Amino acid sequence: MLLAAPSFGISQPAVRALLALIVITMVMTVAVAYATWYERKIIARIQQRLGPTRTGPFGLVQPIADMLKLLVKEDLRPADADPVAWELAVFGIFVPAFLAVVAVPFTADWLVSSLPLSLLYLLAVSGLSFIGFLMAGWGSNSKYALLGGMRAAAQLISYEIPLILAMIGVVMVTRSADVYSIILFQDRVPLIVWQPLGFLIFLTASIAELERQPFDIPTGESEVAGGVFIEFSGIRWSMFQLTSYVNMYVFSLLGAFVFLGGWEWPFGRDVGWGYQLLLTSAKMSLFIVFYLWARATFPRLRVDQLMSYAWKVLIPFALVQIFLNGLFIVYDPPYVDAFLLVSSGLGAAALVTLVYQSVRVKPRLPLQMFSNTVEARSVV
Amino acid sequence: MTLPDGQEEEAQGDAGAAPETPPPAEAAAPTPKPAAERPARPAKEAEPKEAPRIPPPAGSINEILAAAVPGVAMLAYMVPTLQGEAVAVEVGRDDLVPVMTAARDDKRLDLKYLRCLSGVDWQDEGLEVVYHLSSFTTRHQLTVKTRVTYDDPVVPSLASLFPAANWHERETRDMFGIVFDGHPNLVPLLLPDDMTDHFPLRKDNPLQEIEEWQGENLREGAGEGEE
Amino acid sequence: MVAEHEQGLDIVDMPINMGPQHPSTHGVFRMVLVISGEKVVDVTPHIGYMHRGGEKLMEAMDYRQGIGYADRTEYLAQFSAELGYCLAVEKLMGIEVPERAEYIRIILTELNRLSSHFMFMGAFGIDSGLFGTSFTYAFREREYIQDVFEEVSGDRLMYAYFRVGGLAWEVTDNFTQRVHEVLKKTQKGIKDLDDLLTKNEIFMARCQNIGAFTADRAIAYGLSGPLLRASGVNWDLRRDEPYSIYPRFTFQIPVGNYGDVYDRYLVRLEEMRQSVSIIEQALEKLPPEGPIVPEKMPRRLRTPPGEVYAKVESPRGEWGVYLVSKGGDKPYRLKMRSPSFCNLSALREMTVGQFLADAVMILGSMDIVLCDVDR
Repeated sequence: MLLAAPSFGISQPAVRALLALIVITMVMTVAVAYATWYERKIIARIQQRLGPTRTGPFGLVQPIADMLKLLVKEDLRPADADPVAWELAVFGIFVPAFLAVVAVPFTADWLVSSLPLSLLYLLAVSGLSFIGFLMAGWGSNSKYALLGGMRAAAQLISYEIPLILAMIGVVMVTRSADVYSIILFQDRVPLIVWQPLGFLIFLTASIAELERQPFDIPTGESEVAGGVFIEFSGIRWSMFQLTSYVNMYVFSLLGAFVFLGGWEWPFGRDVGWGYQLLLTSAKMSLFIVFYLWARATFPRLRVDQLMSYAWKVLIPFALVQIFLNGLFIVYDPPYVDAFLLVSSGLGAAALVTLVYQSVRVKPRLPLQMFSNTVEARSVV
Repeated sequence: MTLPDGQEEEAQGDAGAAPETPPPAEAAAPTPKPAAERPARPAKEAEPKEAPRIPPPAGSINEILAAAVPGVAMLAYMVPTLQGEAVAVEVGRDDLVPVMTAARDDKRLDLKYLRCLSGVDWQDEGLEVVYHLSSFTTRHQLTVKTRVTYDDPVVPSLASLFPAANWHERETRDMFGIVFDGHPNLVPLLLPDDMTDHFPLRKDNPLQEIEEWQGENLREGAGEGEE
Repeated sequence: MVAEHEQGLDIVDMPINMGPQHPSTHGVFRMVLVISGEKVVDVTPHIGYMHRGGEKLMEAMDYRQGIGYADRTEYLAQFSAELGYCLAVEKLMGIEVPERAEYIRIILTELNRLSSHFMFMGAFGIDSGLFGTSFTYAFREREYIQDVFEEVSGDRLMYAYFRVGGLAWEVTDNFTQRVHEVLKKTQKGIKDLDDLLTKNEIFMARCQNIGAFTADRAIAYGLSGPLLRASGVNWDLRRDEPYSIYPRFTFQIPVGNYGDVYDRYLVRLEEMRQSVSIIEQALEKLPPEGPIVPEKMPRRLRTPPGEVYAKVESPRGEWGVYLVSKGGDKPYRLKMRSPSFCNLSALREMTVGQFLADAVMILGSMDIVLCDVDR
């Protein structure tokens, strides 16, 4: 099922695929550039300010202005940077992100290629980016970059695991590792109903994979000095930033397809591609708005808190989800849907409660208040 | 900056407490002494350079201190604070550590809080280090002063008794050149690391010309509002 | 730097320089941290980048010029610094400040405490990683307060409005009404910041049990202000060594229990609410008219010989002026006891053993002002 709808009358599949790739790449580039625009506007509104307003109407020309500025900036290269690692770090991060877009079905007929294991492909490819972070961190020959790179690698690897485990739960329920089939599975009910625990785990792990607040330690921390990217400027830095937004799109689309029903739910496949595209965009936008909102609101977690959260909380719960799925699939009790719903819902509630409890350290004494008119008897 | 309208100009051009009277005992309602009580002035300036030393009343904490450190030579007097008055003692350099230890450890004094440590350059009379102590439990306040000469500006360090003194002593050494014997890390704090022979706050280190000029202008009543 | 040998590899602690220019250091401050993995092994603060020879300059300025310099020393709590300076000189000269001036001084000083604590909230949110939301919320409130200051003194940051004996000039006619408006808005602002930060789980996880400092160590290091109160020491100069007309107001003093970063944050948040209460009481009791300088105010401010140590409770702690006078119109020695200087001296003990990310939080929780540290 290749790009059929706006087929320009071309019959060879290879040419059509190439055309699709070109269209998607261009669209993604523009979409990502304007992602910076609406991120700045939305976060600004949360922060009670306006965001870009002067460059063009509503600041719409701002991304173009930013791109122009970054293109003409001097390309500074640290003298002692490792030649191979430093030069190729950008590509190491940029390429996997765009590779992931290849397997994403935007509507029922619009996709570049249909892979039988597209979910696996997506997760595998997006997990390759940590190599780029390591290359950037090591190759920059700077202590802050090294720290940032190490933390980035640790974070990305740690949060891949709950992400994949949550997806395995989905695969078990839908009996397919193809995103297309998963979407088709959801023609009655989206998967978020059957796998709420998986959804929560996916949500948290995806923010960590995107390295956004509250998990933005590699790029924001190292004491707020830019972390891995401090030695990159100009066009290289812009490629890092854009990759972050491409990843955001990929994960939002993944979440929209896998958990929210994609373009299939609730209207099915028979409505035209316009409605399908609209549904996809709307569901994707829900995720994106959530990511932006979280960015503006949450402080940053410390590295050890981050790691312990992944390994001690998310992974056990993801395994619980898989276990529950397996139970119901093997024993196939009657009303399996209801059971799965209830058990997974309980699991989700347990996760939320556990998080709530665990970040509250032992109950604290409130502040003592002393009136100023009464001379204090004892001071200490 | 002119004063608001309706203010009268003093005849002699200055008011405030006359030199002979002690600092006011209470913070409320001190009255300026009428001119008749002021003695006749000789031709040059008559204002003495020192405030009169009022000995503390009986039962003040300097007696506890004198009892706790037997044989200490201590000059005690009262100094004003915003709330009234407090006791100040001057001790010799060698008695400083026993006095401060007694001040901190004696339960009747419990002066654990070192608020401020300053140096003062008294030119002919030497360099002085002033310690302000206070206690949270007994509510006492004490000022301890010790004086050293220019030739031998060594004062024992209190950094082991009061960790608060650590940085203050470094700063005082930077500014006055007083060497604190026993300080763990007496390197420049505020001044550059290599500026160890030049002591800015000593009086023989003159002010820059611009400050002198500003001061002169104000003294002559020429410039107004050099703020 | 500890070097160990293990399987032929050297394991060395890494020194990291949080240099003079850094977004998190609240000014020109340099910290050399030696870290072993993620834990801090040693901290060496380097200060002095803002040293301008303030105390020497004060010896050249008379008692009116010195007020301007006191502003520049404590640039976030200017009225506290001006108040401390003026109180010291007034004590030596034996001047009594008229009632109306006292009330206005208190109102302005407490408004300044509010704006300084708002600045702390904003900057502290950024230190903890919040993208900037707390900063914009806090600065919106600060703008309202600074509008009032600008109307009264003509300046947005360096007010130089207090004078020895009272105030420089009369406040605007709608001063009371303006301050009431500002108080309403800042109460909402305090609530906004409270909702954003206090119960935020991630913020709590970043702040609780970090940099805990017991009361004994706090007293030994000479800490003051919210740091001392957060450690459990029930001491506030406005109540325990009162100056000006503070005994006429009723307010409460928050005291923490653990001395960690979260307690310091809570203490400052509560102090903001208490400041609002003090300002409201002062506005009620403000005499509607009266002189703002004493009638027999001398043209030339000369102090008799003597000394005084005047201390006020600034938002950072105890800001003190040790003034030694040998007569004349300039101080012979003026030492500014800076709360940020004393608080910062405890940085090493607070930070060693904590994580690297916590060093930034601890520094932020001290709320230092570098001009005050270096004078």
